[in-house]
Amino acid sequence: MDIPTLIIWVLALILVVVSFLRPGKVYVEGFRKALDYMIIMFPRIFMALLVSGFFSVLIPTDIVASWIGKEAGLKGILVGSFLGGFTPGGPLISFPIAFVLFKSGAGTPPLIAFLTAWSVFAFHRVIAYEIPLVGSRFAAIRIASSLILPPLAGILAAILDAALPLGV
Amino acid sequence: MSQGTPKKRNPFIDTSFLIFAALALVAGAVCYSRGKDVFYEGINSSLSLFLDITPRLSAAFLMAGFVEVLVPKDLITKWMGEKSGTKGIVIATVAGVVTPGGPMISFPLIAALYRLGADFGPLVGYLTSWELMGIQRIIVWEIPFMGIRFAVLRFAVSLLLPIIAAFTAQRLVSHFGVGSR
Repeated sequence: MDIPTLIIWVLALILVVVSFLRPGKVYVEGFRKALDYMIIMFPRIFMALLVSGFFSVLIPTDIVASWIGKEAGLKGILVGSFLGGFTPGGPLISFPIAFVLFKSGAGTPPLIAFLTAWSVFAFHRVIAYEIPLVGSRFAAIRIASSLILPPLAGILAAILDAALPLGV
Repeated sequence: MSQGTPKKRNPFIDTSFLIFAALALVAGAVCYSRGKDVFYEGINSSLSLFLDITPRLSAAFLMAGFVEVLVPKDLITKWMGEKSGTKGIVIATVAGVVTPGGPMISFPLIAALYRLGADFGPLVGYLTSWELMGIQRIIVWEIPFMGIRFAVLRFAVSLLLPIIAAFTAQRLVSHFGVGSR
């Protein structure tokens, strides 16, 4: 078992123990929700990974590297931000994409810009939740306020990545 | 498809599953047309990825379920509703990080606070923080797929972003007004 897996399991078990210590049957509800997640998500994750596996052999790595590779610099960060802003859907779509791009030679700063843009602009969420619940004026102001965040995240990541070679 | 609380859906087959299945079929066919070895290489890389990720995701979903029942949502509402200004923005950013669950949980909360008259700044800070640093998404999705180093780096560079967005939103509002609620 590798270190990330171990850490997540330890955290999960701590939460299970905490909920057992709580009065009432909180843990029953917790297990039920966890089981719901697994039943819903695993078939989809399997399919998503199948797609990303096929794409990983189809995507030409030299193109990925030249557009959003480690050496792509500011251009890579801007391309990553742009791609992320137009990626629809939830994490089941964006994370396999990020993973395949990573495997195909994309650099960390462009991928951070990609995930940041996908997170703050996610237009499926804007349309399905934000506009109906808080209105288009709020959505417009929030999006305008967030425009510089993805490139900023990418640039900060490039600086930090170079300064701190974290060995995790 | 979203990371929200799954409810009242056919557990195995729905639109997002069918879209993924269709994509897998097309991508698989394209691989096969490039040769059998390309196809097997694709299958191989999918399977090794699945074996890698399944133990992590199982724990992550276990966590997700328990975080959802353990974090009191009314506490978050209380924090956000009472404070405004710079303090409100900082509190909102922290609240965004710890809010569990998907958009079905965070957006109704935002809508309630919005109608109660909360400032745009803290609300934008809260949403941005939840979107960028929501701890549940990091644990369930980012660490299993991208690894701890990537997640730590991205979290670190995201720390100031909700605050930047919140202050920008406040300036925009003071220029253009909030409109009607």
